[in-house]
Amino acid sequence: MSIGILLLILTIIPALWKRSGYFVILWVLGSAFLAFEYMEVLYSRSLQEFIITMSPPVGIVNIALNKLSAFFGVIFSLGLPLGMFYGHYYLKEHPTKDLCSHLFWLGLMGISMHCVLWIRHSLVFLMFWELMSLSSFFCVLNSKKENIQAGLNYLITMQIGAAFLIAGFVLTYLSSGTFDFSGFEDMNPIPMYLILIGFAFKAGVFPFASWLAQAHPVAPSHVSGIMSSMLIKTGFYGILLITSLNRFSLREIAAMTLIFCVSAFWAVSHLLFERNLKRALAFSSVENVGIAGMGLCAGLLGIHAHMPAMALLGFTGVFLHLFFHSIFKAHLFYTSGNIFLATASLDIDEMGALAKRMPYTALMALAGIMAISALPMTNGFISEFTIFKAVFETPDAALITYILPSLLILICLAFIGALGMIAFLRIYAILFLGAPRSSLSKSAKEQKLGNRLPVFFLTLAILITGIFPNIALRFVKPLLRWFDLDMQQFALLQSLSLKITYVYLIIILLSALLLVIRRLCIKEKIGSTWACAYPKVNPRMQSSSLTYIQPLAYFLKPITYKKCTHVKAQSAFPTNIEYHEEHPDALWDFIVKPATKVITRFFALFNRIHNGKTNSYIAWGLAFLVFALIWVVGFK
Amino acid sequence: MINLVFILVFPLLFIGIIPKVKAIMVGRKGKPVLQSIRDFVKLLRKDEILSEHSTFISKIAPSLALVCTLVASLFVPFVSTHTLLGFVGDFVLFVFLLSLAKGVMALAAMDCGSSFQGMGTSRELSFTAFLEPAFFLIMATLIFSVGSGSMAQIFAQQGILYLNIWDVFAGLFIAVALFIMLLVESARVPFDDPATHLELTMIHEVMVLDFSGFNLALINYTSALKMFIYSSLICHLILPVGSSILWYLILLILIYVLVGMLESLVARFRMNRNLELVLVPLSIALLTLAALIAKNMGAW
Repeated sequence: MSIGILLLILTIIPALWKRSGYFVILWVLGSAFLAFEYMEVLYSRSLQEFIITMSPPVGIVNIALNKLSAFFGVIFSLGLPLGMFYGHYYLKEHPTKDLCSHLFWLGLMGISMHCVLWIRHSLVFLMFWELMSLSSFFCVLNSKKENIQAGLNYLITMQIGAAFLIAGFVLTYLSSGTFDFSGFEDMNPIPMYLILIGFAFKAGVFPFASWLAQAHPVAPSHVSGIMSSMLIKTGFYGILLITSLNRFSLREIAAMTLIFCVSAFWAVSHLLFERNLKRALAFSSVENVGIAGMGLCAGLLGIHAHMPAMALLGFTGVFLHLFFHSIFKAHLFYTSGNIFLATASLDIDEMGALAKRMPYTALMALAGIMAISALPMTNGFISEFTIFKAVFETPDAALITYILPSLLILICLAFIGALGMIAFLRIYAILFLGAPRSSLSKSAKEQKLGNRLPVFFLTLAILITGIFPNIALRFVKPLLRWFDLDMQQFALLQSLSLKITYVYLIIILLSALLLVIRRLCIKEKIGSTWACAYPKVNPRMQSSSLTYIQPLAYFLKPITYKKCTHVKAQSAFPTNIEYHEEHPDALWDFIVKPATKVITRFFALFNRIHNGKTNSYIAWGLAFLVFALIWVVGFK
Repeated sequence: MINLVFILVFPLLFIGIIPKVKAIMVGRKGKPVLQSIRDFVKLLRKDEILSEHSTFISKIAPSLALVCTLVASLFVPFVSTHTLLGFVGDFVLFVFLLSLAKGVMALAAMDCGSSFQGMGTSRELSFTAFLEPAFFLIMATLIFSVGSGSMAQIFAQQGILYLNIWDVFAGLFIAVALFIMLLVESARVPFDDPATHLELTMIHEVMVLDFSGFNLALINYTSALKMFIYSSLICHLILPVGSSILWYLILLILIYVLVGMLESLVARFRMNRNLELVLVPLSIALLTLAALIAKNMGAW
């Protein structure tokens, strides 16, 4: 641990000298050391453990890894340097005002993410947790004034989450008498709920998830990629940590199922209508956390119902999905960064035909889009397949209390999966295909190799783990053992994934064969697009992002939230007809905004006291002194 | 192996039945049943015209869609219930392979920058949102009544025991749900009319407007194969266990005749009301599953 973290701390020096190249190199080196240690913990019985004794309120701080934190550690130590690497090239093309502070906070964010995994002491954990929120806030801010609202919203949301965590930790301390994480075992329900809620803020679960859609679009692409693919995983790490130490009642599991299903559904209903590329990706993060949560609920149900197969498949699904999500979400955010650099816009309705201008990006993005819509041959499918299989194990259970939640998971997963697929096909089609929709996309150019390289690595990762799922299964295996699951079904799952590999190979071979035949036998001619004999086709006649989902929108009307302004035709010869439609975040409008209003109004009550007049301040002081005197001396 | 021969030859032959039935219904002679195969061979030999906007997607999509559907059909029981591929839980892969085929075709449709094709794509994809959950619910219902296994096993075992009223009930209801799915997925009346000439009213046809020659042949074959898959599933659902191949073939032809008759007797639905009918399989499957669960709990 010491060498790795030391190297990471050393990265501050090049950061201060604004040398992002050396910064990245040091990060790669440090992460390599850390990755080695995490792997060692994950695959062998050796345990890394340090104990630091501090003065009484803190006490003994235990710094150690378990399999769970090592699993997340591997993801972080592979993903973070790649993100920094992308950031290096991104910042070259899109310079920030203050590189020094940006690199500093970026490094600090990464270090605190690693430290959160090591610490087993709730007070010190909170310290690093706060450091992580703070540094990521500065990364989002990126010394730009226009980011301040979104950034502050993020910071405040994180502080509210941290308040829940503090309350939970204190209550746990009161009952167990220790700050060590061992005190989390078999907790009382109320502190457990508080801690789970606190982690849910970070993980991006439904009622607390509006910060993602605010912070991600404004943050620079490498930061939003790191945050969305790895930072929010720390929240899920916390949830899993609590899960591993406690047993849930059936009612709690059902409630969690409901929350995760609503969360994913809320996200996908916004995702469908979203025009801003990065906002759409932010919503999809919430959706994917929801899907992973459904897997978790399926696993917990399996444990509760004593169905080892379902428990194992459910937990496998969660870990696989978290792992895969960190790959394809980073991929898509970096791709969106490249698109932003090429077109200076994130509005998908201004794009179109990028596949002609950025062929490599288009080809790689296809893999990412397929992964996020869980289509076969990519890794997203494997994790959803596992969760589906877990759910289909339920009919063995005779109790309706088990069947109902898993039925809910089944319906939601299928429905959300289909809607997510539609949403991302729409994004891909409008970004990359058709005719250019604006001059921005007409002048787009392929990005430099350095920007494409990280995306290329992630594409490879998507395809390799997607086509050969056994590799990923081997990665999560020690973790499943650690969770004390019955490994009997695991061999079955491995043989299944081998069969899936064969099916994929058949598909690849056959389609290659067909394509070769087509290439050899068929001559291609280029003509204009069929427009029913209308000669003046223009790009504005194409489907826009809203018309693409119009039939679905008609049907989903009762559950979607939109604002539209409509200027109707007035006379026989109307001059002005307007229609404007917007799909804002419902949580933001109905919860965050009113809550902020109430809080501001409450604090406005104290405006009278803080009125800026010296004489009234002296009067308050006098009043306080009199009060204190009476308090101390008392009436006699 | 006999299934493979079946998959490769019969879809196009069977799809020829429908126009024949339609022609007979209105008192015409109609084109021969083999016409669809002739068209297929003719198209295979023709050159292609691609749109000026089209990218690599248009070139690979039809082949990929065909191969995905073909591999998906290897999980499906046809004449023989011994399928080439099959494992426990394979239906998830089956559904997702079909949606991969649909997904690449949806991308290919948007590829040439036409206004019509986006329209068709949005309609077709909106159906998918409700059909996928419906299929999973149907599978859940079947697994609930016969236990888990590969898709071929489940459908073969479900074969209705006509002595048990619950089997008849579940089997027939699910057959109706699957039949509606068949109509939607293979773009038939009342959802879509393959014979229409007006682009504005098309769904599946409009998506493939800009394809020609070899690729169009592949697309036609793919949609015929998809219809064949669904009708074969319905046959296996309704037929009792151990019935002969002859009954299977008769039932299969009957389904195609039924589709043809439906096309000549029923008018198309209004476009924006289509989705309401697409929801029917979903609700049927849900109700059947609920009834089975309730029965298992001892409600009746």
